[in-house]
Amino acid sequence: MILRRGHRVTTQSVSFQFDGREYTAQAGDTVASALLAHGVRLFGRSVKYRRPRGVFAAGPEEPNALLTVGTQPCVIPNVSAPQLAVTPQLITRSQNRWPSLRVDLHAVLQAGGGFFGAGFYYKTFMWPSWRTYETMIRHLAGLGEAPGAADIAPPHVEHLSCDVLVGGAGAAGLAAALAAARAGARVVVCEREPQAGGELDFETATIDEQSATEWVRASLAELARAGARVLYHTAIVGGSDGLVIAHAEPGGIAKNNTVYRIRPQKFVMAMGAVERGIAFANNDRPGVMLLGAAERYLARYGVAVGKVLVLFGNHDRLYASAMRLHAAGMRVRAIVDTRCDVSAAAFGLRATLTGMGVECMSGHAVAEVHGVYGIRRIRIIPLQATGTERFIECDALLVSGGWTPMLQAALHDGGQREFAAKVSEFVASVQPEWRTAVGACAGTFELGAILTESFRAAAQFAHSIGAMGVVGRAPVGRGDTAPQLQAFWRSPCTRAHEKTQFVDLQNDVTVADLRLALGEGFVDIEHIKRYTTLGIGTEQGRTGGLLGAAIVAELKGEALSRVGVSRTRPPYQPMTLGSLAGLNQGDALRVTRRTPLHAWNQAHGAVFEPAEYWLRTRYYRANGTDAFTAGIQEATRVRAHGGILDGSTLGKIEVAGADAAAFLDRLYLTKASTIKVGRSKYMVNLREDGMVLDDGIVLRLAPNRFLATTGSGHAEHMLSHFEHYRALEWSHRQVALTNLTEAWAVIVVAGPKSRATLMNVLGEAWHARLSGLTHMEFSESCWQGQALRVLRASFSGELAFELHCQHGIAVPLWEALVAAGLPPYGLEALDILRVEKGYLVSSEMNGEATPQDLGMDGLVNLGNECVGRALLGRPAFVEPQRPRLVGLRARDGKSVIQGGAQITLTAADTHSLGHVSSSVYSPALAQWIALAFVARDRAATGTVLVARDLLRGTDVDVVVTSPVHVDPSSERMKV
Amino acid sequence: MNTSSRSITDQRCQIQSSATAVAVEFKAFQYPLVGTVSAELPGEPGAVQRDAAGNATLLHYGPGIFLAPSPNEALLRRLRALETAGVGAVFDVGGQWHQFRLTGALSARLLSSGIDIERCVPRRDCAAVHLFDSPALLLLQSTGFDVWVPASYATAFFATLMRLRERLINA
Repeated sequence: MILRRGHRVTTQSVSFQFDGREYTAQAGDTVASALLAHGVRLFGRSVKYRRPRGVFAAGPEEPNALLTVGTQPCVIPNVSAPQLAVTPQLITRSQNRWPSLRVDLHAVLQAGGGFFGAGFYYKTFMWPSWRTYETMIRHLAGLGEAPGAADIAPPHVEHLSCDVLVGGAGAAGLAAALAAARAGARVVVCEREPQAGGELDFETATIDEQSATEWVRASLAELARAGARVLYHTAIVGGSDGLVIAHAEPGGIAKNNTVYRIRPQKFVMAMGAVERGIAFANNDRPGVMLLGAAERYLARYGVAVGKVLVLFGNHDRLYASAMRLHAAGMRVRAIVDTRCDVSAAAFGLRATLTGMGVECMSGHAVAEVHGVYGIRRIRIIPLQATGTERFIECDALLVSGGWTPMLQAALHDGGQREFAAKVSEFVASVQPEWRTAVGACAGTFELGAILTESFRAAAQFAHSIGAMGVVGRAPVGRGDTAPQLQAFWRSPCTRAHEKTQFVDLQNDVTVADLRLALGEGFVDIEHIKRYTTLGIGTEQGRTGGLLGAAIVAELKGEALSRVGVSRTRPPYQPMTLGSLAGLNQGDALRVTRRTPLHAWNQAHGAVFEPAEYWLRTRYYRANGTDAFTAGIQEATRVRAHGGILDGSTLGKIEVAGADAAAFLDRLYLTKASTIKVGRSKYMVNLREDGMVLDDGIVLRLAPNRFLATTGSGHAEHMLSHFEHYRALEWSHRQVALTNLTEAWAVIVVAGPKSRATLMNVLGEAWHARLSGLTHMEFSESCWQGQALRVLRASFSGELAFELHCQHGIAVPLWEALVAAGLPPYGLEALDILRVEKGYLVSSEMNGEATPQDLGMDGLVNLGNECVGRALLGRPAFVEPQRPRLVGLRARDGKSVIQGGAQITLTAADTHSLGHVSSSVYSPALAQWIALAFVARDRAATGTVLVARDLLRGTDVDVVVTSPVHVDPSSERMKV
Repeated sequence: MNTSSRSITDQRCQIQSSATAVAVEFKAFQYPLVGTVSAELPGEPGAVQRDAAGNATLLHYGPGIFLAPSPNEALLRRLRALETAGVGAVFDVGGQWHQFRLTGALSARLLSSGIDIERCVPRRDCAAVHLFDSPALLLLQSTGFDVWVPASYATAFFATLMRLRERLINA
């Protein structure tokens, strides 16, 4: 193997696979450069017509050479070959072909070029139905294949801030970074390539009387000394509201990648411009490549992209490029310049090239490429009336139609663009005060001007944020002259040839497609984009977007400035879904909260269910194989003997201060100030609109200290609700509150044997306290040296106690209770017990229920003035059609009442009178029972209605009952 | 998470985890603090009172909200006196928080996976933040960081720290 020399490759050899064949590369190569060096020209096939395609570009804008990396099920599709670094054992595969790249049976689609025009699938596959074709189309459609497994680790994520963020480390970016760093600003530079320098890689340039390479090296050293951070392989991909998202993909692949979330004070956009092509017949054939790409492959990797070259373009840079390619030993056969005259600056180069045997044709254009898997010859036509058509044999056609600024980041957060006629493109214009575009991104293409403009802009930015260091003078540079571009978008051709004049190579969009879209009434560029797929996919219109817009302008007879270009959306460069997800995937998809008893429960067969972020025990496997059977067994046992429940998720907010009682009076439907120390009360909060917000028990711990319990998972919301009123409405009050949910574990002990067992477990010191404890009373002391509070309260209808204990005794106390004969139960059983007793389950507090709807008229009638009370008197709240809470039982005593079923008058009726909010099978009653909201005028006990489950198609006759199904006189709690 | 302490050692990133069995919170009824009170407590949110050895004794982590992660008798007396004087209320928050101590060269990088650490500290010594989907109090120490999260989040938080730590060390 002949060793190549380039900025980026070393002499170390590395082997990799492409389509099952082993290739040898040099360390530093990309897959594109290595394969090109081996003479490979065919990299893939196009998505729609399966036309053979080669490498077209040298960066993320590559539309054709997308590869699948790895083997199923762990593949990464659509990786850009020009960015994919060769690593040992790398396995790559071409896409969109079957059975092989060379022999693709689907290539028959090429014959349907006219048939498969824009929007063909919208109008072709309608008969007999879309389903007839769906399988085939889905098989053919799409870029690459999705991985069968998610094996890629989540990305690294890094949040950082800086004074000045510079996007791009080309000439403009480096000059800007130098100015900001010299001023004393903290600088971060994001460069998508593995090295800094941008086009200085190959442009013949001197800066500050050094070669461009030396200047780049010196600048990086100076930035390092100043503490600036240069992030390579890192592209700006999105952001908003002052946040900039950058994505680093070392090696060009989503492995070990990093998502940066950067908050800069100022953002200098120096992301440069992407070269674009020109439309002519068969401009997609392998061997047709962007001129700048060919120069990059040569300078960076020492790769000659062809033996006999023809350059085709519309600006002066063709001649400087030809000189460099020729100097590298490549044979430049001809230069086809669409302009009639070259500028004075390029005139000398042109004369030199002519003298070297390069044919320089002005006022000509390439009309067509002949060849399928490569270029055999090209057809050249004169653009004026005079002259004749010619054919030239070559194997590489290097095209340059100008440059499109990388404006993606400049068009969000209010950023604007404007059309610059001088360079025939849209450039960044008005930007938010924290952002500016410089260099090619702003339409400047001459090196000296780029350096000066970028340096000054960054210095101004740095000074504006107080970095006042002396920046010195801007670097002085001289490189390729200004391009003197004259707009030229496509070669003249017949309508038939428009079907092979490709505008968007990735999506097989041709000039014919654009004409068709316009003919069918799609006149806006955004609509044309969606109809033809122009500029979608990984390429995002970089090489074809402006070209397509310009051809639309030509076909419409309008100025390009009026037609505009479509707006791009983040991410500006392809990212895997895993990268977008960040850290929140796999086990970390959703944070979970655990109680102090979680480990015990887990070890004893608990089946958990999420309640907000909490993981709560639904049931224990020992009691049944499913939630239904286990729930019934656990609930039955509680009613018969007793059981214990992990209630640690219960929200606990402590409220303290001289005005604590008065404060709580304002926040609850009933008064807290009437609670005696050592007692508690069931209380309800309302929203300002009168709807029930939450309920719980409020304990008076001391004259000026209360503990308010909330629903599980509601503590944070309720604390915020309380704080809102404390800070904004009653800020003069002496009251403070804090969330103590985690400070106390809670064990609920319920059932007829609960008191006796507790006495047994807690010991003699607690006997008197427990035997004298009345309903809603609590007692505080210690157990095993740690604080314990025992509250007599019930949410099951049984004699019950809540044990609030410190973490250190939670597990020992729990285990002692189990050992004493009280087995644990879970939420399934709790729900059964609650519904049997008519206590609210979470679905009754649905944000639409007033206290009267829930049967709390007695509490309302106490007349406490509190938040939400004023609106309780609205007439709508007492209308006869307004639903209120009732109990339901199946009329036949055995049918299942489904939660969510609609309540109607008859089975034929579709007018809903309400709905079933909770339903359970009651082991105490041996039938299904429910809580439901039913219109007041139909809610009389004994009324027969129908519970219609429209999803399952079942109708059940139900009888309205009291919500309290079991023990209405609460005898069981009074034991 | 059980309340026993855990300690993971690697020179680049050490993580120590322990329950805060004893801790109190002081909440002022009014903010800004006025008069002599403001001299007794760390003044601005983000300020931290430290003892002679440099250990943080009182964190002013929100406007008028103070955490004493392991208060001694003198501090407790001082806070109780403020409560008696009607300045604010003292809450026993033992068990509410779980502490993580991160030291080593990678500790800042690890935390920056979830938060812009440079923006939070060192401009202030402590901050109330949202870190890896958990509410958290962040304290800048001379050798790294202390982070307190509500005890119910501790297991998930610890798992996230360990996962990130392993990836950073192996990167």
